[in-house]
Parts: sequence; structure tokens; C-alpha cells
Amino acid sequence: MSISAELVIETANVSKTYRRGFWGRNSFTALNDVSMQVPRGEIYGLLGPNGAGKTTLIKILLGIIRKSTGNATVLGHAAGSMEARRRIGYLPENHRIPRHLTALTALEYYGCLSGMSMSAIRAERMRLLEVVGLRGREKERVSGYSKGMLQRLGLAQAMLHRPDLIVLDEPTDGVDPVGRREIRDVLKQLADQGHSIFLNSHLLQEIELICSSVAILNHGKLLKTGSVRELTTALADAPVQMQVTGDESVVRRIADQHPGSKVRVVGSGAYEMEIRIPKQADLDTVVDALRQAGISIWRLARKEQTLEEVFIGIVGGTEA
Amino acid sequence: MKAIFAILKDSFREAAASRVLLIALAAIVVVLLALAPLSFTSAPSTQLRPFELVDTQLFLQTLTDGPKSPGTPAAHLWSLLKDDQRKQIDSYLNPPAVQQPTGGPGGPRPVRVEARVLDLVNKLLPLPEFYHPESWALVELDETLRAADAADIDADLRASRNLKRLAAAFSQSLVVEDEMSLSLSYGTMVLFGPLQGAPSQSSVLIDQTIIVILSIFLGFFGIFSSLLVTASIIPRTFEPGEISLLLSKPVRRTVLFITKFIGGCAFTTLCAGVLVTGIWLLLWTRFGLWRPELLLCIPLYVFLFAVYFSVSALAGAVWRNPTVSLIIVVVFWVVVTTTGGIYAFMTNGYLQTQQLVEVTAAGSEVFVVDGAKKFRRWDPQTSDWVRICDDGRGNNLMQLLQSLRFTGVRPRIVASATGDRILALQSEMSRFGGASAATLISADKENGYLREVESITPEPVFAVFMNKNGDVILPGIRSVYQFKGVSDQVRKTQAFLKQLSIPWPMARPSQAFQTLTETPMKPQRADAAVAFNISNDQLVYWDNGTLSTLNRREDGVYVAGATRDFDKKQAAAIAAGGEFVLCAMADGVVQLLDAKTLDTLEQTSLTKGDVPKSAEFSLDGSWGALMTHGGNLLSLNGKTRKFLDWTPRENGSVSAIRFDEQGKLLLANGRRSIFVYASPESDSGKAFQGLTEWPHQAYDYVVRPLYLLLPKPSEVDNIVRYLVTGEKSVEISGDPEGRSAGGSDDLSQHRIAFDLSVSLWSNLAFISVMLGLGCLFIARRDF
Repeated sequence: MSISAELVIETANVSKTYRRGFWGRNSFTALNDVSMQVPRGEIYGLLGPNGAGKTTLIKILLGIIRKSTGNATVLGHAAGSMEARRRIGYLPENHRIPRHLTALTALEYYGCLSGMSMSAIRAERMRLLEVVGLRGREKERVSGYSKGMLQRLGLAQAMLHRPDLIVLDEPTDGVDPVGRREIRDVLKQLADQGHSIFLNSHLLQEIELICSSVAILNHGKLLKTGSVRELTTALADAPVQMQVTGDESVVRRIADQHPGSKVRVVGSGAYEMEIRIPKQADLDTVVDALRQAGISIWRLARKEQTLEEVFIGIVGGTEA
Repeated sequence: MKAIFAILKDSFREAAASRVLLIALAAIVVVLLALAPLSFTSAPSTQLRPFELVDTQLFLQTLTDGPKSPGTPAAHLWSLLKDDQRKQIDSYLNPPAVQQPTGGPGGPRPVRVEARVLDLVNKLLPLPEFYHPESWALVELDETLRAADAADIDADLRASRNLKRLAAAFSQSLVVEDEMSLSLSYGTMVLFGPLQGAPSQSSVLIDQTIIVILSIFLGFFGIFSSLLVTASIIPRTFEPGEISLLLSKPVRRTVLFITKFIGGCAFTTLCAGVLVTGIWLLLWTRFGLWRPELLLCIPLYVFLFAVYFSVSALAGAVWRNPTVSLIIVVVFWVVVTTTGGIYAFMTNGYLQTQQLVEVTAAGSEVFVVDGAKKFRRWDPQTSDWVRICDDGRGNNLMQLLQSLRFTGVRPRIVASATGDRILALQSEMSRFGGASAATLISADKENGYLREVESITPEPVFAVFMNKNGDVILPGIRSVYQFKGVSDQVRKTQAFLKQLSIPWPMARPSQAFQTLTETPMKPQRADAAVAFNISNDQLVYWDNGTLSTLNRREDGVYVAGATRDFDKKQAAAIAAGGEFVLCAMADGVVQLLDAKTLDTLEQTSLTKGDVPKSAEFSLDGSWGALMTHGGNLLSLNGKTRKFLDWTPRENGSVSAIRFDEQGKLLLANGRRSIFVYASPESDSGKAFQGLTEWPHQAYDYVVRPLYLLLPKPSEVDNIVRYLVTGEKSVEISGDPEGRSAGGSDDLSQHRIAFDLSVSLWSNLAFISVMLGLGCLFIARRDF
């Protein structure tokens, strides 16, 4: 299998089937023939409803779960290999840091497990604690930490050994809005520094804000991949939104000529029209009609989709 | 390696953060601080101690004879006694009637005269009138003791001086080996004292105390509290949130599991380290005992903990639940302990009572004695052993086990050439403590081998032998005796009284036995060994490193022959036959010696750790055999004077050996079968195989396989005993007083050898299997 130097994650027909029951006679397919490629230097989002197989895919990439079939490579090495794990930082969902540790000793522990020297850990850990906002609480036992503080510490340990790829499973879970903003900023900084980030989150708005590309999983199948821009860009058949000023009756008359059109008052003599006009020629005709009726057009654009709409559209389509 | 050290360091951190650890360490420190003021204080001995009264009977006899020799210490001391005390002493020496034999175990326990005599003497010692210079005029005393004591002298000092005077006056029956005595003090307060043992024995007391403390505090509480604390380590490590984090790091799963396991031992290491080091320091600073080997107990108890923790670790990895893990460990502990207990009970208890320990063949008859000292004869009709010489005692299990504990003289049977008449010795509980005489019993074929009591031996004897002429020879501790038989008149009286169910008197020793030595010998120790050479009636004694022979003159009297002193003072098993003496010493060295000169002709060594038990020679000395406590047989060819490589099929479980008149070797297989070997290197021919009983089958098919399969953590305590005391084997039986003929150092008594390697390897193998299974499971599991 050829591995592109520009890809941090590449899977080909990866499947995972769990055996169930006392004799293992029943089976459950958590991942079904998943093939995807994650380019280097991007913040890549993994979307999917609960039980879609997102965490299973991440654990296969880290070697925590063994795949049933297919191939997967991470950073050019077999998924789960020691070489790959040495260059990955991982923050699991609902992670648990031993309660007898403090932030300092936890970073020392995980740093050593990652192969760092003590001097390197000491040089890095205070800076990281500053970055994640735990400076001043570093000598407290983690048993006294809130969920948000634990997430921040988990993020710090994932970044500690300056990995090439950071895999985050619900990193902002339990973190307050301000904290989320801070974490997003940290991730953006990391991406700017050339780190690749593979992010799994339920928060679609968050993904939309920071991810450059996403993959959508449902029922173990990969439904869609692509850049956020591609997914949310207005399609040719998307409704046209126009903001106009003029006579309301004229505006409504022209709009009513196109079924499904909507007119909304947005100010004194100002209206927003939403008309479904797939063909450009028809749109030109509408514009001409408005202009001839003395209506001023001060904004016209085909309507863009939010990621949430795209997600629901894709997932809803499969559910249907 | 960084990862391994990180995990280990984290384990120590976790142990240190545990409150249970702090509580355990605090408890250990409190115990050590509480023990710290303990010490031994030494002071001149003011009391006669049990081991110093070497011959109670002689002492009392000398005392009662005192009035016959006025002006002697005995006469003076007799005058100090009250009338009731005199009567009491008289009753000790002259019981109201010639008693029935006590019947060994199960019979009435005789009065322990020795303790009462000690009490009597110790009450006299502090009295001002104890010492009367004129009475001690002929006794050798130094000037300090010779002078009369001042009236205002301290009572303890007076008792101490009087004790020395008493020992000087009764040197035949009292030996004050150490003039100092020890008391156990707590700070400045004397807790117990003076202690009964000599100061030189204090280390034995300390050793036993250490073993108890370590067994209780570390072996039980330490390990259980460690298991309680560590039961959660592995399950928690493999909890979803933690294991995902750990497995994302470049660490192998097996390394993670094994290192967590090793790290889990940190708790026990800390507890054991503090306790053992504390005891070690206390012994060094408070008792002056330098025992660095004690520190080896730290890794040893960690090893013991590791056996249990390996089960906990495997259960924790599979179920990921600390409670389940702990329950499984407790169940495992119960199973192992129960299996070990049943195995030990059967191996060292019940099966010992059932196995054949003596065998004798004469004519067409084969007689055996089992471990419960019950006599049996081979019955060709039923093809099984039938009970003979029944002493009326039942088969109560406790009585059987008690018979193991009460060893006494070896129950060797001698039989006439045709097997029509057999004789044997039965041990008696001593009335005076220490070595005791035995009862000679007999049985005749014409009476259906009913047990007949002949007489009590004149003194403690080692065995009964029969020469080619049918003479019954009994070597004793001071003389050699020949049993002359009981007069017809006594027999008739006995028979008459027996019919009336009236206790019948036995023949007095003086009537039934003839002394075969002109003068009494130097008394032999109770654990001496004696062999008889049937070809020439020669007797061979081994007594604490000295081998000596007694040769029989034509007039039947025994005279001293050759003597040889060996380097090591130790016990030995000996045999004599033809021109040879076979001497197997406790350290495993076996020598073939010339019977006349006692020069060594050939020498070999037993397998390391094996201890000789008994030896036999064929009549002409052409074939010798040595049986060990490990059930092994070593044989030698008397013609070539070489030890043989040949071993019988039953090797490893041999429990009795004896040659018949034709020179065939009869050999018991550790059970209820006897096999006959016509010559070395031949297959066994005839066999006498008793019926197998259900306890044996249960042992063979259930208990033993289970025991072999399971680890043996309880045996680690034996290693601690080995480390602390240096003992390599222990006797599991022995006379309660430990000084009767066939006493505590007698090699013929059953003993367990500590096989350290088996215990260590068995436990190590179990740990490896548990960890191997754990690694296999974890390596294949999805988390």
C-alpha cells in the first residue's frame, strides 16, 4: 500500500465486527468498509450521531481496538504500531487520570510513557499548563479537579510530547463557553504550527468554526468527506436570497409567480425575498422584472447551508 | 525503560497516597515501638531448671537414702523436708503396686513427678538452713561456697549459691550447665523470669517468637491488607477512561500489565520492609543478635504476596472490577489453604498412620507394623493384612494421630525362625520424665497371636533383637539385657487373675531379664542408634558422633570393642551385618565400615536434602540397604563393597525395609503393600498387597493432583523458618518431653524435609502461569 507523505491518516476498507453472546454467535458491525484520507496540517473533524462508530475508528487508529478487516496507517506507519503511537497525542472521551496524581505528576507520568526525558517534561509542562489555563492549580490532586479542568489537563498531556498528530475525542466536553473558545484558539495555534488534528465532536458549530475538513459517519459507514467550505457552499439549485426596497405589493406579486417563495419585512420599505429559481435565465428575468417595477436590489446571493443542515441532510437521508 | 520506571514510580506514588498504607505503617511502627523495651536480663540462676535434673529417679533415691548416711547433704536435705513431702517422694519411688503398662498413647497419663520434684527443690533453695557446712564437708566446693552465708544475705544470692552447692552434692543426677538465667524484661520491669531454658537457648525462643510475629503480621494481616489495597490497581488501570489513555502511549500491553503487577507489590514491599527491618534492628540493638539473613524475609513475603496478587491481577484484567477481584482472591486463598491443610493432614497424619513402617518375615509368615503402631499379619485367605496383638485400643482418628505424636521406641518386631512367636517393644510414658523403660510384649501363633505382656525392661532400651539361637537381646542405655522369659508360676497367676478381670501383675524386670554387661556402660543419649549383627551377636552403638561396638564373649557377656569418633556430632542410622557396619549420618554422608576396626571401606552421599531414616543388612552382610526420609533406597553389595546404582520401582515412597533369613529384601511401598526382592537389580517377585482404602483413593485422585496443581504459598512460611532457624527439616512427631528413647533427634522418627526449591518453583510457576494468562488476555482484548 502506498502511503502519501501528505496524509496523516489513511484507511482502506476498514471494518470492525464485534462478536456478542456467550459463544460469540451474534455479531455487530461497528465499522463497515471505511476508507478515508486525512491530509497533513489540517484540523479534520469526524462527525456522526451516537453509535456511528467514530470512537471505534479512533481506537483502531491508535491500536486500542483491533480492526477486523482492511488497512489503516497513521503517519506512514501501521495503525496502532509503536512508531505511530510515539507521534500521536490522544485525548480520549471521558478519560480518567489517576486520582492520586497532581497536574505536574500526571504530566510527568504521561510524558515518561511517551518516551520524554524528565528534563524535557520539566521544560514543557509549565508552559502547557499556562496554555490550558491550569497554572496555579498544578500542585493540587486531580481528584479535586472539575470536569473542565480535567479536560484541559487531558489536552495538555496530549500535546506534551509535541506530537505530529493530535487525536481529540470530544475535547470540549464539560468545558464552559469561555474555556471552549480558549481550547479552539489553542487548536488553531497548533494547526498553524503544522500539527495535524483529528477531532471528534458532537458540537457541529464548533467543528464548523475550526475544522477545515470533515468526514461524516453513520451506522459504521462513511457517508461523506470533504472540506467544510465544499459542504456548506451554495448549490446551483439553492434558493436565491434577495434584499430589496420598494413597493411591497409589487415585491409580493413578483415573488408569488414562483411557488415556494417567501417575503419577509426586514425594515421600513425593505424586504427579504427567498425564491427557488434553479435556472440562471429565470433569475435574470426576475431581476429584470423587479428593476422595471422600480424595485431596488441591494443584495442578491444564492443561500449557503450550515454544517448542521448538511449533516442532518446527509444523516437524515440515510435514516429515511 | 522510561515507561517501566514511570509505571513503577506511579505505583509507589499510589501506595504512598493510600491511607491504608499509612495506617498499616503506623500500626507496624506502634508494634515495633511497643516491642522495643523488651530485652533479656541476665542474673545468677536461683532455681533448678527441668533440663538440669537429668536423672530424677536417681536424685530421689539418693535423697531418700540420705538418713542412711548421716552428715551428708542428702541426709541434711532429707531432714529439712516435712513428713508429707517425704511420703510423697516415697510414693514416687515405690508406687502402691506393680502397675499395668500404661499402654502408650491412649492409656492413663502418669504423674509428672519431675515437675513436682523441681518445685520441691526450688522451695528449699532460698532457705537459710539449706546449707549446712558440716554436711557438705566431703563435697568439693570453692571457698566462696564453702563459707557459711551471712544472715542478712539477699535471698536470691543465697538461692543461687545453694543451687551450686546442690549441683556439687548431687553431681550424678543434677547438672547445672549454666549458672546464669535469663528473664524477659520490659524496660526495667521483669515480665517473665527466670526463664526455664538456659541462656544459650534464648536464641531458640527468639527465633520462634520471630517466626510467629512474621507469620501473623506479615503472612496473614500484611498480605491481606495488601490485597485489599492492591485489588483495585489492575481493574482500575483497565477501566475504559484510563486504559485508552495508557494504550495510546508507546507502551506494550504486556509490559503495562506486568509492570503494574510489579508495582502493586510496592505496598507489601513497604510494609514488609518496615516490619522486618524494625525487628532486625531490635534484635541487633536490644538483644545483641546480628541476623542479617532476616532481611531476606522481605523479598520472601513479597513473593508470597505475589502468589495471591497474580490471581487478583488476572481477575482484575478479565472482570475489571476490584470487588470481583478481591472475592476471587479470597476464594483462591480458601481453596489453597484447605487443599494444603487436607494434603498435610493426610500426608503427615492419616496416611502416616496407615502406611507400613516395619516389616518382618519369618517362615511363611509376614508381619508388619503400621504408622499407628498396630501390628498386622498377612492373611493369605483374605489377601489382606489382619490385626494381631490387639491392645484393645480402637481406631479413633484422634488416637491414631496421637500415636504418631507419641513416638517412643521403634516398634520393631522380631520373630522366631518359623514365625510362630513374635516379640516387640511397646513404649511407656515415663513417670519421671525423660527416657523410660518399655514393655516387652509377645504373641504366639497357637493363641492366634493374642497380645501377651511379658515384662517392663529394667531401663530404657533402644530395640529388641533376636539372634540365630533365638536369644532375645535388648540393648539399653547403660547395659545390654537378655530376656529370659517369665516363670510358669507368674504365668499361671497372670492367667488366673485375667480370668477374674483383675489387673494382673507383670513379671518384675529382675526376674525376666539378665544383664549381659559386667559393669554399666557410660549412659547413651536417648537419641542414640543401635544395630545388631545377627551373624555374631555384635552390637553397634552410635551416640552423637561416636561409633562403638560391643562384642559378645563365649560366656554371653558383652565387652567393649572398637570405638571411633567422627568429626560431626549428629544423629545417624546404622546397621550391622557380616563383616560390615553401615553408618548413614544426618548430613547425608553414608559410610561402609569394617565391623572390627570401624575403618571406612567405602563412602557415598545421599541426594542433597535427603535424610537417612533406617538401615538394614542381610544376615551374611552381602546386601545392605538404607532407607531415607524421602522414601528413597540406597543399597550396597557387601561382596564388592560398593554402593549400587540400583533402585527399586518403589523408590521415592519406601516406608520400611527388612531382610529375611534367605537374604531377600522386603520393602514397603509407603502404603499397605510389601514387595520382595530376591537380589539387587532384580524385579520384585512376590508381593503382599493389602486392599486399598477409600481415603487412599481420595488422596491419589483428588487431593494430591489438586495440591500439585495449585501453588503452595503456605510453604513459604517453612522457608522463613529455614531462614530464621537454619533448620533443614523438622520432626513432626516426638515425645512430648522430647527426651525419651527415640526422642527428638532420632532419625527413625518421621520428619519433613524442607524442600525449598519445590516450594519456590511451584509458586513461581503459578505466578508465571497467572501472569502469562493475564498477558494473553490483555494482548487480545479490545478496550
